[in-house]
Order: sequence, then structure tokens, then C-alpha cells
Amino acid sequence: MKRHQDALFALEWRSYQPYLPLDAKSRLIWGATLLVLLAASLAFIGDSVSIESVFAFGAFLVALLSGYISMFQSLILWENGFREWWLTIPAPRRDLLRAMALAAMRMQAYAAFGIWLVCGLHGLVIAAMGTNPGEAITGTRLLGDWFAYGFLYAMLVPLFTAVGYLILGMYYGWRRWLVLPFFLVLMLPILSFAIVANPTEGVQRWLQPDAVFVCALIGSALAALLYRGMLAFVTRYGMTDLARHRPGGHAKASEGKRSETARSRFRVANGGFAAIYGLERARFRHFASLTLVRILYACACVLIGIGGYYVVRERSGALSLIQVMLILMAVVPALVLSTLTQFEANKRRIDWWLSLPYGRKSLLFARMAATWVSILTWMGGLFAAAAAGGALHGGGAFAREFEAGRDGMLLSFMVLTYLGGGLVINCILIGQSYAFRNRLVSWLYVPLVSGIYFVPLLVDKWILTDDKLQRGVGPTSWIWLGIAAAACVPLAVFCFNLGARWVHLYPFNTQKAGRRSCALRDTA
Amino acid sequence: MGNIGNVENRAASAGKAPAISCREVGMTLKKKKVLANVTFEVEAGSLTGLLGPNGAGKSTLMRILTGLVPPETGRADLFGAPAGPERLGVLSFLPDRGQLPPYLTAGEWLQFAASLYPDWSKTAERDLAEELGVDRAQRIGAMSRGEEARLQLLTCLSRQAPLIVLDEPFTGVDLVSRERIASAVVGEMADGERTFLIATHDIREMEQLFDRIVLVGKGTIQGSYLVDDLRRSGRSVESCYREVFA
Amino acid sequence: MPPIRTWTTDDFRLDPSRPLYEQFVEQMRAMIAKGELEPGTRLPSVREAAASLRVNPTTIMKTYQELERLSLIVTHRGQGTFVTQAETAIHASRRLLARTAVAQLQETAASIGLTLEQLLALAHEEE
Repeated sequence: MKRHQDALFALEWRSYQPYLPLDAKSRLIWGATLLVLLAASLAFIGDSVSIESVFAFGAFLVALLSGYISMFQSLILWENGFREWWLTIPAPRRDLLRAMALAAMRMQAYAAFGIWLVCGLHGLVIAAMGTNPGEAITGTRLLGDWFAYGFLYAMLVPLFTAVGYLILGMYYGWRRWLVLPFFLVLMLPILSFAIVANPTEGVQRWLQPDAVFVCALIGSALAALLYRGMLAFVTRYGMTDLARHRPGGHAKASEGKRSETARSRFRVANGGFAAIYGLERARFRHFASLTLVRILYACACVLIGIGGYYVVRERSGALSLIQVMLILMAVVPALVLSTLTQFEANKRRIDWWLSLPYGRKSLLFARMAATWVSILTWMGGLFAAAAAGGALHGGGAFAREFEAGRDGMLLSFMVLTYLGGGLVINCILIGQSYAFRNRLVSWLYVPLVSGIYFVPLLVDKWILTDDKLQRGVGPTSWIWLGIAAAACVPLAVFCFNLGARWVHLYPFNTQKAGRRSCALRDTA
Repeated sequence: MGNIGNVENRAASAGKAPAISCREVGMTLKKKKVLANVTFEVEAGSLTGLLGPNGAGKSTLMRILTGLVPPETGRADLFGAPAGPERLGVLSFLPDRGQLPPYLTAGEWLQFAASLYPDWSKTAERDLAEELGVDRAQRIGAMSRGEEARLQLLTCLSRQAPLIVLDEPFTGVDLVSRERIASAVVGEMADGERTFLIATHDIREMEQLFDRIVLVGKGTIQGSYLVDDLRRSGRSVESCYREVFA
Repeated sequence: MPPIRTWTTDDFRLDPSRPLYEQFVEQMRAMIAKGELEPGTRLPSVREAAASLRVNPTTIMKTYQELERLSLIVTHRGQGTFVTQAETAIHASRRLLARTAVAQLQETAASIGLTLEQLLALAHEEE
């Protein structure tokens, strides 16, 4: 009875091992990453917020990692080649799921421990330097934080891992409507980031060890409940859907509209670049036509409209919303593009793509352009929704205080910085395919790939400071932007060309960690 | 009809540069020697079978020929000029276990393909779609393996490229689909202007099609034979394969 | 209109360790001699025949070339390939078929130490 459970767990656990500090090389990477994180938190955050706020940041990071990684895993499970083998293992489906969830939690526990260590050391360093603006930090307070937040992190891991897996049950049928509350829950940690930095007594009171301990206590009861609930819900619905699912799309849904699908949904250009661009755009247009996606997008529009209604009351609020959306706009295309080349399922398609009789650069550029255009279009809709919300409020303080000279300049500076930055990041990441070829480059890309998402933070800290947001940008900022562009554009072009040259290496390197001994897809 | 005139065509094309010419091609991946010292030629206008056991390096060899991967050593020429991404126009490649965009219907994909491939022939597409039995209304993601294999082959053969490289066109394909695919291949090469290189494990079904077989094992060429010569010496493709690999 | 013959894979028995065109020539010659392929029958083009028999087109070309050399088929430019109407050619092929059969019979007779006539007498002997 127990043996198959152990075996299932061992199988799931095995898939995480390459990412864990279990051998000398990965211990080195983990140590280096933690040190970089610590240095970054000391440099960027330092003593600007209380040490409890830092711990609270860490808590949100733990929640995000646990929630999003399990959600992500649930989303790719549908196209996983092993899926049918897995589902036909003669064990109760609940046990399959349980093994998967437990392995994910154990993995997240490592990550949570790492984050706890960084936050704890951060507090220690701040205490030792004695630069805390208020009274000196006592050892008791430090110990209390360590203990209470350790408990909190330990409880967040199962809680949010369970939340993430819930989406497995929301793929088909009426349960698709549950996706809305689901995303709201997963958005909570992101939305709360700004709150915990608040130094006021009312907020800080809740960050003290005793309050945190009580929260964690309640939370662990909730986690236990949710874990069981998730197992029951997903076993009942998700695993059944998963077993019925045919990879490659919602086959059932599309068969009903056969006569309609006989006509092409796309206008096809007559050859050349327009044709490869059209093919790439078709992917996104198909995605946007899915009912679930439409529902989600409509909800996002409503939510952001409501957000727009409220944030325009203050000028800074409106600017922050714009900034957050620009950051998303800058980061998301790069993420999408890398999944297009690096996913197992997509690697199957890379051969056809690369065999199209066009230059690699055109192929890659068409793909990049289609991704950007799609995401810019979608973000445009969101912007419009936010603006409509703001307009309902009569424009609020944002409109009243709007000065064409100052704010017009500021907004165009923001757009240029984020869009330009996003494109550069995108091109640099495209160059990653060369890393398969060159060991030095692959080491260079390890910090680059993880660090690149912090770039918006850097922008926030150094380029678009509060001062600039208030008083607008001067000529100096524009000159710096010009210099940055002069430095980055050639780099981006270089990386893009490099990536185009070596993009064929993806199918040969199926898993970076080398899970398969020799990743040759050569069964010939 | 000029059935017999084609023989002259064939003889004439044999005088041109070979469709494929590999000289001492070698490839190492992750410290494993996948190919070493691979040398062979495929005459223009012929149908050549690339045969060998699993893991012999056939797919890698095909990827080199199609220019998807440059060889580490040696050179691979197509019609007298080096293979590479810029030569993709002269060849039509069917990748092993490749997949077409699942969110498109067959008809939508063909519409894209017609504009993506400069050498697309609408006539060939129409005739072959009939012959291979492709349902345009069906979504690719909902197709069976045989159905998608036929659509992929339809895509390859609707092009007018002079060289057609098929990597395992029959894996997971039902008997009737296989026969349809084989018939379509034969029909397409009958004018003697196109060259086929086909990697397959279905020797019994395919051996009547081959002009030449190239045997690949352990990352190198184990032999290259004209099938007629084999038969004149009383051997079949299958018995030759057994002699070399068993 | 002359009758049109289409082939299926069941029409021929092929041994993969002998040249295929030889076997096609033999079997089609036999069909013509037996009248299974009537004089004037239109044969499929190389492309059609190769596709329906799933053999290399060169094989069919060689077959047709050989049959044409034997004057058993004729190609009219622009119209197609037909089984010959010339009686002499058909008769010659029947003769060849008969000779081959007799030669085989003679071999069998020799193997049991008889002449052809003795073999036939033995076969007709009553129990």
C-alpha cells in the first residue's frame, strides 16, 4: 500500500533534483544566488524599511514562487508527453497528485529556506551596523522575527502550492469560472507588496513577531484544509479532464463548429516576410479567441478600469499604475518568446519552423514582432480600460495637475525607457541560444536570465526616482537615455544576430540541467 | 505520353552535380561522437533510402543536410553548393516527430504554407490532398498521428523543391495511410526531376521504392548500394540490411 | 475505345531478391500470352503504374522498355502505351511461354530418369 506512494514521490522528486543544491556545482550556484540577493537587498532596500517589512517581502516572494510554480506546472501538464504514462500508472489518482504536490512543496521548502536565510541575514547586518533610524534592534526582536517568519514561510509553502494546483481542476466546464477568484487570490501577494513597506504604526504592528505567529498559526490550519480540499477537488475534476484531454487544443470545442472552421479565420499575405509574420500572429490570435482567455481579459479590463477610477485621485497613484503596466509590457514579451523556443512541446515544432525557406533572422524577427504586436495590442486595451476608469472619475487630481510640458515629457520618457529596455532585454535573451555552444557564455547567462527581471526595479530606483516623477524629467535624463541607447542598441543587435545563428541548438538541449543523459532526439 | 522518354531525363540529370554529396562529415554532441567520417552521394533524380538501427545518427545526418545544424568537420553539398539555412529553398524537409501548429485547421495551415513557401504549387496541393485524403476542416491538434503525418507529407510534396528529405514519414502511421503516402511519393518522383532521401525502418514496405540504399550504423556509413545491383546478385534490401547490422 | 488496364499490388508476385523489372516483364508477358491482357489494351503511364504498384518508376520504365523491345507493347506519342495488336508478336510470346514450360517439364523428367514422352505416358497411366 505504502510502497507505490514512495515510488511515486521519488519519481516526482527526481525531476527537481537538478535544481537543488545537492552537488558541489549547484551548491555553488545557490550560494552565489543567495549572496547576490542579500547584496541586492542591502543595496536597494537597506534600512529604508523596517527589517520586518523585509521579512514580509520575503513572505510574498515565497507565496509567489509556491503559487506560480505549481500553477505553471499545472498548465504545462496538459501538453506533457509523459502525461498518459503517468495517468496509467496503476495507483489511485489521488496518490499521483499527492506525490506531485509533496515533491513540489519539498522543492519550495528549499527556496523558502533560502529566502528566509537572506531576510534573516539582512536583519542581522542592519542590526550590526546599527543604522536603523529608530531605536537599536535588540537580539530578542531579531530572534522573534527569525522564528515567527520561519513559521510563516513554512506554512505559506503548502498553502500556496495547493492554491496553484487548484487550476488543474479549472480547465473545462463550469469550473472555468473559478479561474477568476483563483487569479485574484494569486494576485494578492503582488498587490500587497506596496502595503508592507508602509512605515506607519498601523501596518508595522501587524508585522511584529507575535502577530505574525498568530497569523501563521491560523494559516497553517487553512493550509491543511486547503491541501485536502485541493486533493479532493483536483482528483474529482482535474484528473478526469486531464485523462480526457487531447494535446493540441480543445478538440471537442472546435469540432462543434466544423462548418465554421472550414473557412480560414486568418487573412494570409502573399509570401515574404508578411507571410511568416502572419503565421506567428495566428498563434496569438487563436489564443485570444479562446473563451477562457476572453473571460479573463474582460475581467482584467474591468479590474484595471476600477483601479483606474481610484488611482487618478492622486497624481502619484496614476503614475504608479502606468509604470506597473509599462513594466509588464517590457518583461512579458521576452518571457513569452523564451517559452516558444524552450518548451518541450514547442521544440517539436521548431524543425518545421526552421525549415521554412527564410533567413533565420527574418524568422526570429517575425516571431518577435508578432509577440510584441500582440502584447502591445492587449496592453493597449488594458490602458484604454484604465483610462476609461479614470475618465469616469473626471480625471481626478491626475488631470487637474497635468502639465503638458512636464507630464508629457515624463510619460514619453517612461514609455521610451520601458519599451526600449524591454526590446533590449528581449534581444539579449534571444542570444541565449549561443550559451549551448559556449561554456563561458552559459555562465554569463545564468545571472543574466534571473537578474534581467530586476531591471525594472533598477529603473525605479535610479532612473525614475520619486523626485523625477514629481517634477518631471530634465535634459540630463534624456542625454543619459541617449547614451544608454547608444550602448544598448548595438549590444541588442549583436545578441539578436547571435541568437538567430544558433537558435537550432534548442532541440538538442532539451533540459538545461541535462536530465536526459544525451539530449539527442535521434532515434534513427 | 512519352513514358519512356523519362529515361533520358534521368540519364541527363545523373550527369549533373549529385543532389547530395557528403564528404567526411563529423559531428560531436555533448562529448558523444554522433557522426564520424560520413561520405556518400545521392544521384539527382533518384530515391535513396537511408537505413540503419536506432541511434545510428540518421536524424542528425538529415539535420546537417537540411542546414539546420552545421557539420563540425567535413562538408555537405546540395547540388554542388554547401548546405545551410540559405539553401532551404532547394529542399523540402519532413522532420521526425515534428509537429505543425496545433491551433490551426489543416486548411488554414495549407493557406499559410502556400504563401510561406515560394515554390508552392496549388495544383499539386489540390491533387495530393485528394490522394492523401486530408480533411481541411479538421484542427491539427485534434488529428490522429496518421492524419497529421499525411498533412505533413502533403506540405512537403506540394512544394516544387528539387530535393525532398523525409525523416521517418511512417512512424505511427496506419497501413492504409502508409500506402497512400508511398504511392504519393512515387507519383511525385516519376518525372525524374526530384530527388528523394527517405530515412525509414519500414524496409519491407519501402524496398521496392529505392534506387539506392545508404546504410548508417554507429555514426558512419556502413555501405551504399544500388538496389538493382543487390538484386542481380540475388540479395534483397532486407537480407543486405541483416548482413550489415545483424 | 480500347480497354484500360490498371494495376494493383495483387496482380504480381514479386521476389525482393531478384531484379523487379525482370519479374514484371515475365509476368506481363505471360498475361499477354494468356490473353489476360487483350491486344490493344491501354496500359497505365509510368507514373500511374509506379504509384499504384508502389515501386520505383525506373522499374516500370525498364519493364516497358523491355516489353517494347520484345514488340509486345507499343507507345504512340501523345496517346499512351498499348498492348500490341500484331498477331506475330503475340504468337511469338505464346511460343516462348510454351518452350519455357516444356523445358521445365523436360528438366523434371530428366530428374527421374525419363524422356518427356515417357513422363507424359507415366502421368496418363491408369491406376
